[in-house]
Amino acid sequence: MTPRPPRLSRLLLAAAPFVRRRPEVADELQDLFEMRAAREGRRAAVRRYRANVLSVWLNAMLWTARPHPPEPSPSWRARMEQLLLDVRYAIRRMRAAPAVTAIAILTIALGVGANTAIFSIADAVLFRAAPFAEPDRIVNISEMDSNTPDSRFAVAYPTVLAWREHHDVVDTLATWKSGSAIVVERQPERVSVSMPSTGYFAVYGVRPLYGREFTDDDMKAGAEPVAIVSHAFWQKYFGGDPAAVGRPLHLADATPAIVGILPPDFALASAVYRPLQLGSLAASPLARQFPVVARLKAGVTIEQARAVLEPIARQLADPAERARRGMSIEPYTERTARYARPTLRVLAGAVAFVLLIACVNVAGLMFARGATRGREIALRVSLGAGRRRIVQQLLIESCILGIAGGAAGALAAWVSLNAIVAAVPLSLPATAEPTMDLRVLAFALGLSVACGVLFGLLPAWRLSHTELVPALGAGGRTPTPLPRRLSRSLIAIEIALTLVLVSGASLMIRSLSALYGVDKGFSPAGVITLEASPLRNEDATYRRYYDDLLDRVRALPGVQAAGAADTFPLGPSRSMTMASPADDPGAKPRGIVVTSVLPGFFESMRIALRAGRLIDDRDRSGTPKVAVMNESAARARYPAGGALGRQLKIGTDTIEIVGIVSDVRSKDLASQPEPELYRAYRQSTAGTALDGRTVGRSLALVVRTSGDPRALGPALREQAQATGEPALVQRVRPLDEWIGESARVTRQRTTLLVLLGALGLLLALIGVFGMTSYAVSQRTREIGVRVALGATARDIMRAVGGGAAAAIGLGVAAGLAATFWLTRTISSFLFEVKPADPISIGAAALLLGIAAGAAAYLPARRALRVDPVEALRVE
Amino acid sequence: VKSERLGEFEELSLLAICALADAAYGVAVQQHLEKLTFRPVSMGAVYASLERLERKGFVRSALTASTGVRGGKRKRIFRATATGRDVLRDVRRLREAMWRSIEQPKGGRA
Repeated sequence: MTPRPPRLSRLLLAAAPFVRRRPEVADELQDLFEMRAAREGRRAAVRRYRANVLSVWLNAMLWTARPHPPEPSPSWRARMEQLLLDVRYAIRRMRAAPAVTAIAILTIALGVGANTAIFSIADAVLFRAAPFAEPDRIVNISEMDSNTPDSRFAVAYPTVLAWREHHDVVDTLATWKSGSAIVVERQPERVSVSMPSTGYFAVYGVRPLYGREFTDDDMKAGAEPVAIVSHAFWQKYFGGDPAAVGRPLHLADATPAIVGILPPDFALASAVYRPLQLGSLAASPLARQFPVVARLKAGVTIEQARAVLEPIARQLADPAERARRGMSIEPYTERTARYARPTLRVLAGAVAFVLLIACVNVAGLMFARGATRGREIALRVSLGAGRRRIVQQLLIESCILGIAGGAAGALAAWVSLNAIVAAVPLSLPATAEPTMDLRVLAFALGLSVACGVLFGLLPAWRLSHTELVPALGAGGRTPTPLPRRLSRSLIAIEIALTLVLVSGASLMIRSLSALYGVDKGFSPAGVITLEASPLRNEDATYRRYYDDLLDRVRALPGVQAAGAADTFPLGPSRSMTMASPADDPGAKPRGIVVTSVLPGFFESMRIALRAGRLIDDRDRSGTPKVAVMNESAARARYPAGGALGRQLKIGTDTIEIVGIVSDVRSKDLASQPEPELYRAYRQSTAGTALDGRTVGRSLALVVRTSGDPRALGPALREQAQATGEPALVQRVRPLDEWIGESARVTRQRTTLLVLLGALGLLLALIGVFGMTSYAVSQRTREIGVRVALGATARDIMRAVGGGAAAAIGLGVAAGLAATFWLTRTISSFLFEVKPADPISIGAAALLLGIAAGAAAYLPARRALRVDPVEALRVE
Repeated sequence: VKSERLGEFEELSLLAICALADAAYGVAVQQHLEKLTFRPVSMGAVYASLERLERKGFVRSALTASTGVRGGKRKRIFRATATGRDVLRDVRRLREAMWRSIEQPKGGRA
């Protein structure tokens, strides 16, 4: 065995500082040791080895300590210290020019703030998972027509039952029906009611806070009535008392026992849950009225689930449409995201443009300020600062500006988040509340730094190329001028960005005004609506009550006409019914919106009669059943005319068409009129509850008054309670409010885009003004010379303003191209206006051109007042 | 330049490298120096000297492939560069001129 050198010495060698090629050295010393050990014995070898290690130590240290040691790269510590110095220097410089700093911070704050607010909303809607266990396993399942991929239909009950047995792909699958009930615990109030099947809560992974869930026994016909209430409802009516479990819940038409209370984070819309008890109407495979929500088995993909469930749905479908029956399985979170995405995309684009404009502005500002620093930088370069150091210093300054602005912006966004959320035209899911969480703050920080680099890099790069001699030689009086081409490019970019924003706003304004001006087919002015429902839910009571109430209302002073209907135009939702012509059994049934009305409805709404007669007091139960059709329906069904006198089959009823009325925008202002049929309420059948009971149909009153409809409200409420029948009265509102509600989304989109457009415009004008006035101030001497040499005012204006005007023109041209390309993204927001509408965009370009021209003209005019003597004396 | 000058130990090391031709690695240089100078030479001094020579551009070094002999480790072999040889020649010329000035005292030309 070869002898080894002493261990301590070996360790010493391994620890020797500043030794290059240490492994080689160690190897050679080892060789030498072995050689000596063989020749002179181990002791001598050890002694020499130790001496060698020591000499390596000493020589390495001496060598390093010599005047020309290898230059070490700066340590992290040194770098951090340098950074800190730069930061302090930057802050000192910012404080030295408070006005410039304030403008820059404010500009960035506006841009970053707007982006942060929109991001926090997008974050909540698109990215933040639903507050349920493993939300990615929760899916909404619906059927669809494979020919129209966007169609979504609820599912027939037999299909639901067949699906829920497939435990190989679904853990739990549930359906529900939605309805409402009147709570009579105190003041009557209508609340939303969900009637879920068993497993509904399990799908969301939610257990009652107190009590139990629904069982299969609760779902059986004739079972003891039970209810589960939401946390908010429990707080409101039972003050959060756990003893509420087991107590009866007083509803107008039932008194179920409360068996469970839901936890607070289960914030889906319903207040009260009742077991889904299905009568005979659920059994039909054609009645597709059950929405489906399911929790997939762990590890099962949507495609796997589809492969199992789709054939079942096909098999149970009507043979005629089996071929095109498809199904859609959407992640629970996708449902809200799908509606929110277009709006969020446009808003995000708009705020990004605002931010870009802000960045261009600040870049111009930094340039202008940086130009006056030419001397300082030249001095630093001459004292040995490298280009990297200079760029680093300048970038740190701009990043600090960016972060300061971003912090102010994030603060502003945080303060105004609630107002912004209210202004954003999205119905946010109750489970996703936008907040300023860490992710949003990180976004704001990242954006701020990105801004700092964006608006700081170009000036930093340019300034770091400062020529020493001219900058120092001129005594610092003439700063390195901002190159004209550059400032013009900045102006052009700014104008182009702004034109896109302003055009978007302009298109929205035209849409909104078109929407308000659209022919609605009825006259809302002077009309007030209210919904009244007797608490005793019996068909006969309801019929008596509405007749009585209408008589009382008509007797009120100022009332010109009063009628009632189960829904009214632009009111609460409505649905289609299938109707087929009674005289042509071969014809296919077609969808039509059916409304039941009491006499006086058309007069109150001022829906015009085109032919025949309206529904009147002749049409009572026992007389032949009649209906009035709107022109759209008449045109679609009887293109050759002659709708009057024809008969339609709806369900089991055969109805004769006795009149034709004008079209009405009923669904919303932007939608084309739908085919509609108005029946006589007195001839229509009673409503049927899910459990098969006969119930009354609620109506809404529409009352036309000669005065202010709002003033009539209290009298209407009073009359609704004066018939001797206790009733729930709600939504006493002028019809104008419903119209405003219908235009709300368009109005909010318009408001937001106009605000963002105005913000962009303001920033751009500040930028144009700032850069032009800077250019003028730099050219004072040149202008002085020109004036001294006999230039006219016109010459001066051309010299000074010509560049800015050219830049603005270029910006408008580039902006127009971008606008025609980008406004397509808001085409779905527009109403009766094309995305490339020349009037809207032309108006926007004109406005921007004039405003920017003025912003450039004001400082340019100052050039005219330059006194040549003054200007030249400066030298 | 001062750093371009050759120290005494550096001169000996460089001469040893030239003498050893293709076998000039650290230990060999040290052995060669010990053998000819009859005094102990520390490895640390050799390494420092070799490194200085390399830095001044008087020698080049390269790692050999493993030889298979005595553990077969790779060795760093040093070779004198052209500059190194020039410097040695300059030193030698200077010394010979000095010696000549001793052996033929002033005025010898006359």
